Amino acid sequence: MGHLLLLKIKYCLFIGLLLSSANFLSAQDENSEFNRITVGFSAVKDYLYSDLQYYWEPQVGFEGYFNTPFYFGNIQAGVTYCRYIGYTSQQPNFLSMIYYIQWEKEIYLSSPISIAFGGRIGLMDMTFDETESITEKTLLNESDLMVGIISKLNLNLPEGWTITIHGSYMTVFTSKKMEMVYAGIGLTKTFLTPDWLKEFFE
Amino acid sequence: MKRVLLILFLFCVHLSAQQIGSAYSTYECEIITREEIQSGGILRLSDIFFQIGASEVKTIDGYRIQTNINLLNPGWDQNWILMVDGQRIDLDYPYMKNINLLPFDLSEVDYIEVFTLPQISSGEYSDKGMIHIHTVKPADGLSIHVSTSSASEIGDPGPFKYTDTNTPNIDQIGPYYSASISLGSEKLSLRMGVKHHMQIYSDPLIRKRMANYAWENKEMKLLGAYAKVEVDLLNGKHILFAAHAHTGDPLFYSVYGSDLLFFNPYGAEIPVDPIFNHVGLSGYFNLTPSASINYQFKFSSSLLDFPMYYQKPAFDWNINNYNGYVEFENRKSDSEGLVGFGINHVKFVTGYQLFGNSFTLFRIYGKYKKNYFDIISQTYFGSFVFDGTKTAVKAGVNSQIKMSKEVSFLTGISFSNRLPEEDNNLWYWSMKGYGFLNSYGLNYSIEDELSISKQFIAEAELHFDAGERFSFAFGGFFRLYSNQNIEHHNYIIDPATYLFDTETVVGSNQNGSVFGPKFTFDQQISSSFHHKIYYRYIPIIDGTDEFYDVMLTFPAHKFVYTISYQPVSSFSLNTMFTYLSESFWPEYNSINTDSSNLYSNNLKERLLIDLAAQKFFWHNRLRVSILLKNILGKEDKYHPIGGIFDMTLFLQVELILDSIL
Repeated sequence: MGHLLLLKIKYCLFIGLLLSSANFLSAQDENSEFNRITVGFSAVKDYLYSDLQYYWEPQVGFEGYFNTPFYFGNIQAGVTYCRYIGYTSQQPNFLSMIYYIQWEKEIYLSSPISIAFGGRIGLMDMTFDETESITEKTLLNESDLMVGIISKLNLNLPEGWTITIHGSYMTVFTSKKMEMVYAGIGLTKTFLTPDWLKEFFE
Repeated sequence: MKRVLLILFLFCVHLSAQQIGSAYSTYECEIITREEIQSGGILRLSDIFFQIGASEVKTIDGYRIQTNINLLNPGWDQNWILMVDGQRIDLDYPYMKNINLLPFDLSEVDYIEVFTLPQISSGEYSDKGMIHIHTVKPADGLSIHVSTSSASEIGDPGPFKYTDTNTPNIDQIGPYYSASISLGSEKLSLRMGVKHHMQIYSDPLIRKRMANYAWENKEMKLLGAYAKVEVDLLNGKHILFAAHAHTGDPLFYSVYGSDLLFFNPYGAEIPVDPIFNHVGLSGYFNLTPSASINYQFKFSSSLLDFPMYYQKPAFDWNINNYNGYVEFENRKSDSEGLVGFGINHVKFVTGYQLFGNSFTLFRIYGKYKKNYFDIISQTYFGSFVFDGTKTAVKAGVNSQIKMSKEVSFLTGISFSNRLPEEDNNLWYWSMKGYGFLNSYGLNYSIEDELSISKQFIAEAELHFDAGERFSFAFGGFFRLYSNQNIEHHNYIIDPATYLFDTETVVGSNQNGSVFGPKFTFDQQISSSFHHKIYYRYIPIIDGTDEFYDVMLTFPAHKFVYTISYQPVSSFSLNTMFTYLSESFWPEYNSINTDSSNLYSNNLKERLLIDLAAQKFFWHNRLRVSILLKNILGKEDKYHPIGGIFDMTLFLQVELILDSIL
């Protein structure tokens, strides 16, 4: 419990420090809805998995997403893939897919660095490996509501490339709530949105 | 003292009947537009009851919902009228009028009229209220609509089900599918559609009571289909509408799944398979630019099949319902009127003879609306309903007095008798010899003969309208009921099995009255922001014990605040705050102690907050909506032995391909 509280405090301090050093001259104002699109891919790891840690060990996972300007910030839709390995045969391994939608505000610090923070909502879909102890196939899938907050540190490179370090603190609303902190590092590429795709969004 | 003064003030000014949320609503009719339905993020037809300010809600599972429109009924009898595109839809099932049995979904709905005061509409006198669903008109050429939706309630065990901290599954809501194809032109349009719903009874509080039921009896699969033809012909417009729905069909799944009917005399759910059919023709012929003949003829059958064949006897509920009317309508610049004649023939199909397996009701009705000096507008309406021996008289007047450009005073007053045949319910047919209750070993008694019930309805409202951006209204309502047939139970739970036992008593001479204030407010704050308020209060109830008991099941206070943000037409955010005060269910007085407080005879007061967002893509061809219901996670419950609805995420994706060819 103390460990959890400490991590929450650290996470809030991290965001607070970033905000306090921010130059609030946001380049976001120059963007209108959907005029650029960012495709990103990251490696992620669950570093805090509350009571899950007594039963499962998370593996390194992956996250893919799209991000585009949307009303006072950016909107992002993505999916995070991660496998959890059970410590004993009583706990089957499972694959976690988190489907989410997220809104974030990006703030440009001294060039070429920017930060972003926001919130996300989605579903955590769990698919359990079939084992001899599981007799009902309907028990192999589980899907639960997830909400969370996120932060990002972006290092903008030439030609639309960005290295991004990001963290998310998420709560999954199972009967015993699962709280998770995913940290990740990845690469994104930003394009001007093609007219046909912009029309689709609008 | 302040409270007394407040009540006196509200007593003096009276209150409004309607929710003025929509620009199209009038004080006697609340209109829910397609935009409001979509921005609210709701999925199922029955969810609309939560959007209607003047609708009270009772539900065990959140899917099968009973409503009371504007307290026009002293209790939960589902005798309000359901209409679709001008045709009366008779879902003639005991206790439940599950509008999800209609074979289309909200994606096909254009707007919904909720008649909150008695009046004449579509050939019917709506003394218990009316909900009229208008479906969207097909676009020119070929159109295809597809919709899919689902929801997830929080509180499932997740991976912990494989640990020693396992908890039961909470709920699976959906998935729901619907699709339609239509051909539209200026004078002829055709639409066909199908829908499939899956609904699982998996709330732990409900499942505890049904531990002995097979899984397929707790997992409903509903399949519906319809066809609608609309044609301009013979100087008029005519609609042919045919619909079918049944449950149990494993079309998309390998396993059969029945519906469940909460049968009050049994005190629990009974697995059933409703099979519903409807075919109707309605429309009008214009005789002159100001005069027309309107008509409707329809047939419907409402059958309850009984999947538990090992139980004897089988449920043998089967009602055929024929209804029709012809009316003449004339409109002038300062007045309009109509007179009409209708017949309703109902046949109860059983394998044995009743003391009359059918009845026929004849009705004559009329309406006259007159404007006086552009200041006073009055609508007089009345109806005689005759069953061959007895006559029910119904009459009323709705008035609007324009006191200034901004201020109007509105009133609605009506008196009506109601024949037992008009309710067409379990007790009417049991009196005629329907034997299911006796065969099933259920104890019941009906005090005396079922009466011709009487009701007096009065509403008044002072309405301030400051143009399009701002309006509010306050007023009050009064209901006086006499000779009511009210069903009463005293449920006793068996702590070992969680099954209930009761003796049902139908009191046939119950009387009572209710009075209270209402308030509505509506403002377009800016081009993007809009908000509205609905509030009603029931401070005074008087009447016989049975009347009093049933009125206590309505929360005394109901407050709804909605705020929406729509910066562009393709994106909106909507937040709805609902406050419901505590309600009491005296029929369940003993369950708190007998169930060790697992169930309770009172429903706690609660503040519910729902958040919804929707986005259109691809020039309004693709719509995605998210609704997060009960984000505070309050104990949201609408029946003492029903489920508790925790925070739930609803997702919907809709493809709208209009005029593709």
